[in-house]
Amino acid sequence: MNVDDWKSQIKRGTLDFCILLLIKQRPYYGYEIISKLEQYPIVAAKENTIYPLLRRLLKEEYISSSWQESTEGLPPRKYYTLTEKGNEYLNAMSLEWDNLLTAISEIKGELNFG
Amino acid sequence: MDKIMNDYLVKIEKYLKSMSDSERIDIVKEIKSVMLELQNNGVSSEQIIERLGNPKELAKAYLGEAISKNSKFSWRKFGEIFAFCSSFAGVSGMLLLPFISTLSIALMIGGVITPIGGIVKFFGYLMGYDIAGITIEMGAFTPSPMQFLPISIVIGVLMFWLGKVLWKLTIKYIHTISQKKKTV
Repeated sequence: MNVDDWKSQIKRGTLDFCILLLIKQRPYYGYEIISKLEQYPIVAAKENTIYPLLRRLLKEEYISSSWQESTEGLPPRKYYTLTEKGNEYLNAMSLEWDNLLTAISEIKGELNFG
Repeated sequence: MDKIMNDYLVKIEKYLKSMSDSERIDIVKEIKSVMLELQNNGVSSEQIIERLGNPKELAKAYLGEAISKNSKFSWRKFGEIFAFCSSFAGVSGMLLLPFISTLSIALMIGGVITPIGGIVKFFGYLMGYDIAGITIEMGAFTPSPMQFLPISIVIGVLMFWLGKVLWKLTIKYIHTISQKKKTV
């Protein structure tokens, strides 16, 4: 039994979704996204995954970015915000996510009681 | 910023040389920013480098993700595929990818040109000319001007379709090799 492969597929399939959900709340910078996701092992990912992924989301115009100076001694940070296009994409994803959850819970229910 | 981290950034910069200056500078700046952020949190340079992983792999991930996921064709994307290849030696980078991506475009172009040739020849025929410069030969069979038009359209559609399939495969292949399962 090897559930790791399956887990990494889930992660790959849901990271876009997680990142867009975070950015929707407020502007985030890269390191902040990584730290936040690290709290949840199922979606935790390192810099070499998140940064290139952010770059792709930028290219596809789901997010936009701006550099901002930060307080004493700290380097400037690149903040990401959700675009209108990104918001539409996120809404479409949310809908499918709900569909998935409903499907799983119904299938589980049938297995338990059926 | 000590030597270890600086060397790392220099390497990243080198591997991303095929990107545009503004994009490359922005990427390096962002990696530098996260390095300083980690350093500020008390993480040692060695640990930071370890966290970021092999610079070559990181650059590869950037170049791979830069080729957007939809498989629509654009010349810009064609350039990006070559940028991806040029940074990474090896059989797939040096031979396979440039070969199949170029072939797919050649097929798509051929797929457009062939029916145009067919139409030109057909109208030439209607007006009483036989344009000898445009012709198809399949073994001993050479289609008459009347057969030429439908045959050229069929061949054109086939070539174009084959080119598109090959293009999609190219994009898929790049995404598979640029995001190795284990790094996720």
